[in-house]
Amino acid sequence: MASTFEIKTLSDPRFLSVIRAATGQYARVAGFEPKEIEQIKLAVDEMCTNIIRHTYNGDPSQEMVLRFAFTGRELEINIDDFGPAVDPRIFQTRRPPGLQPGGLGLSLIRSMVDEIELATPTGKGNRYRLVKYRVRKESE
Amino acid sequence: MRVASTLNDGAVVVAVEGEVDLYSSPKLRREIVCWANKQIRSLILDLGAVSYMDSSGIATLVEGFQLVKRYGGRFGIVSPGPSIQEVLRFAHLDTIIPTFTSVEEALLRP
Repeated sequence: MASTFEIKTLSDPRFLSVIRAATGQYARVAGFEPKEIEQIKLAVDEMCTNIIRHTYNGDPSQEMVLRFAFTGRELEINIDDFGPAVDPRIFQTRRPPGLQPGGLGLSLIRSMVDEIELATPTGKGNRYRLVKYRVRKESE
Repeated sequence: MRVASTLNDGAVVVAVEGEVDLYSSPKLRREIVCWANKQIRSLILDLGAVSYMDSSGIATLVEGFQLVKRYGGRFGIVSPGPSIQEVLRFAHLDTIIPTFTSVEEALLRP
């Protein structure tokens, strides 16, 4: 049975640090290495930032729900927003490297996790599914 | 996140402490823009005490670099942590934004 954890929060940027702290602790308990923990935190933070900025247009009063589930082999994080449906092609565009102030977030998310998927579970809102595999050490 | 600026013979060192994200990066941006508007000769960001930086923080660094270069000033960052270095490498910015291991090195470089 997966060990699960849920965060329900406002789309207020002040709470991004809380989300990161909880994400980091959960990943630590799940046995990820320090570098992987930072990658998971960054991916979750970037995803929430993207929702706040683009789906909710900076409105801090909307809702986000994050659900963490660790199976022993992989950590699955589902992040739900309740805004307009997002074009799934956003994950397919590649940001050109170099001096552009924006557009880095989605590229970073793709590089920090092993799987990323967008779904619209009920026809309203968006669900972003991020998966990070945990490589077991030989001693385990 | 805290920022503290020190003026040193035409150069400004902005020491940043804490986490730089969507919430806190505007504060860092305001500090950078303030000094860039004064056309300070050198603007150095000391990131040694930054524990976390996401893409909004990176975007702030890029914007600062572009602002300062536009008037012919110098921009550099000092002691970014391993996670920040990884993001800079991923964005191919590690070879564009001058990076130093100490404030002294950054101030001495012409």
